[in-house]
Amino acid sequence: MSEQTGYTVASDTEIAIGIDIGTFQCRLAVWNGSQVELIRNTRNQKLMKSYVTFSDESPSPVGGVSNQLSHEYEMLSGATIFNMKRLIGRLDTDPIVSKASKTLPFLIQTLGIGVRPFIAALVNNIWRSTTPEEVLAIYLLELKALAEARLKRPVRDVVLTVPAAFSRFQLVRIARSCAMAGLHVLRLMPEPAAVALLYAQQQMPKNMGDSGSEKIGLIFNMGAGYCDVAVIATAGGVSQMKGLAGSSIGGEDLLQNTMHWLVPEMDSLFSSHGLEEIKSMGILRVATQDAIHQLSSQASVQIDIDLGNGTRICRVIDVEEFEEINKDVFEKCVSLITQCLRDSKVVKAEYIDDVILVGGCSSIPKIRQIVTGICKRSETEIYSGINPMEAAVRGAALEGALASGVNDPLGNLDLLTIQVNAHSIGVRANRNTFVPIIDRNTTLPARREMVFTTAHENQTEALIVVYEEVDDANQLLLGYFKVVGIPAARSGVPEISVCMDIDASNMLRVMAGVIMPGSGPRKPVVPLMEVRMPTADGGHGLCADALNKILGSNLDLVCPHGKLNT
Amino acid sequence: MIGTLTTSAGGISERLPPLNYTGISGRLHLFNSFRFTYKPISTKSAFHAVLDANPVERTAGSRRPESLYEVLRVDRNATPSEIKTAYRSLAKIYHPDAKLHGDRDFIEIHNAYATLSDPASRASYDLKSRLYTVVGRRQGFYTCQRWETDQCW
Repeated sequence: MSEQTGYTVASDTEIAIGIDIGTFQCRLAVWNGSQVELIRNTRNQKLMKSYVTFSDESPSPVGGVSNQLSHEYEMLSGATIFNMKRLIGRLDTDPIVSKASKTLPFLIQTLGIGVRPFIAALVNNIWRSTTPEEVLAIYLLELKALAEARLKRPVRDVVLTVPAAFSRFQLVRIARSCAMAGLHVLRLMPEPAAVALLYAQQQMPKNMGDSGSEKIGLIFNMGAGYCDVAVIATAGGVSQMKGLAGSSIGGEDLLQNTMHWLVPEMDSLFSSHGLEEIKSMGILRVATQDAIHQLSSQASVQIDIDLGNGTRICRVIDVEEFEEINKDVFEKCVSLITQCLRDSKVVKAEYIDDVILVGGCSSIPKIRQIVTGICKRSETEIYSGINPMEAAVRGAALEGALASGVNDPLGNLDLLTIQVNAHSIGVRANRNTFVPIIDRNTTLPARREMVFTTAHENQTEALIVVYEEVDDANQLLLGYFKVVGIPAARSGVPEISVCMDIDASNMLRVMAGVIMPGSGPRKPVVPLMEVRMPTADGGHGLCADALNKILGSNLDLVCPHGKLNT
Repeated sequence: MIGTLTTSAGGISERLPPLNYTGISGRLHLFNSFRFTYKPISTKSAFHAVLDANPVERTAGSRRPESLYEVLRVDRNATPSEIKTAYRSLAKIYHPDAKLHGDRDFIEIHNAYATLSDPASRASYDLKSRLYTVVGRRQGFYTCQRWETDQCW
């Protein structure tokens, strides 16, 4: 099968680079033939800020890859768009978007009707419109140029890490940004999966043939925008993910909450986005950010700032106060970990061999306390073999080498991560019930089939409405299609089979077919339908409403035998 | 969150109440014989794959379905760690991401592992398969279903 082992990849094979686009910072890495190497920018930095500044002076917008800010305030003048990863693929009904619209210096307009928000950067006193995808694409172009200059070859193939909490919409939008930047996405991998790959490599047995004993690892990853938790079982270079959970909470929430605590009336104060207000908001943001950083190493911080509009803030914030302000965020961390352990059937914390704590927020004392507390160990027992700021990008670079078919003679790439599906996917049936077909934490690739029937006498058409459950009882419409040509029959007689398939690259296909029972061979009566999801694009919030309003229950699906309670 | 059934910010139109969460096990296995490929497939060939395959005729033949132990290539009295090792080495060959790319279905391998790695489900599987050899296959009953997933017993 693989006779050509013994040599590293031929020089003409393109090795995909790994990119970890953070809400706040970004990193690039690549497999250099024997190990993963981080790519530094012209300023010799491994961490690059994620932002793009629009201006009239330079011909094209400049991003944070090579640009050096003389001061943080430069980023906060309204001309710079950042937090793209938090905003991408979200609608204006999303609480994250409406919160961001009140605390970010650039413009985010929301109407609260389920359409995409209007985003604009301030250039020469004009609010110029853009989109998170466009901003991300500009940024990715800079990363591409940097990688090409460093590697002295064209770069096209990439592996990107994404938060576990990302919906399939957000994944589509990220892929679109990459396409706009001329990058070909080999994989969008959940950040914990990338960390798991790196961990699996580190745990590889030294002598071949010895598969070693299985180790259970808990990965907790929290950055500026998102938090992910995963439980993995690793042996012999193979990591089987047992549970995956994620949420849109992160350092940005800690920052926003603390800003609100300092200036409770800030929502109304900054709502008009005038030049003076943008400036005050910038001062408040920088001071709060600094204070939070200091609270990781000291018990209290004095904040003394002049917002410039006659408001002076002089307050002392201590660690207890900070933890109280951000109680909700920390509670969510606890619930994510406990949920993930429960889903993974890890009944005792003692069964966890390694606790891996990564991401920008991993240095916050309260976060360390929460994770070590649940896992019942001391801070010194946290897994120390991984750099918390580089874990995801190193894993992405490993995946890039694997996906590019690189062979390593030393067996350092003899790795595999078996992933799970982060969110349940199902259809709407029995009027308004979400019926999951592929549950969350199902091992990928996955294929599940379920049979439904008609709701009405002589119903000739049925509407398959596909949802993704991104959070408890919070479903996003992914798409819909009709199954037509159902033979006239009593309600409950035709069998409408819906099959969902997610392949190893996480692509979702939904298939549907109709069978009439008792008519000889069980063959579909009409051609089957196969639909790649998501199909619904921007405005899917409105779309779900429209479907319900216009079609009502006419094309409903029903689970047979009354097994479901409506 | 975004555009869900549960958000009701403006109330511009009648919104759906939150969806309930339920699960059922009604299965038809129309797509059982259908093998999804992991590259974008032409729709035409996909449909033919399904339409050409007749589940009843195909599986009602004399071919005995593989036992889960056979799927994992382990002994009936394999230890849990042997089962884990077997699963991992098969994954390295048959997982779509694996370099070797065998042509067997990884989903089937994982399902076998999921049953056999859990002591309770392994015990009930063993019990069922012992019954199966005693009672034998009933004619024309669930011939189109894989018996280990069938709950009719």
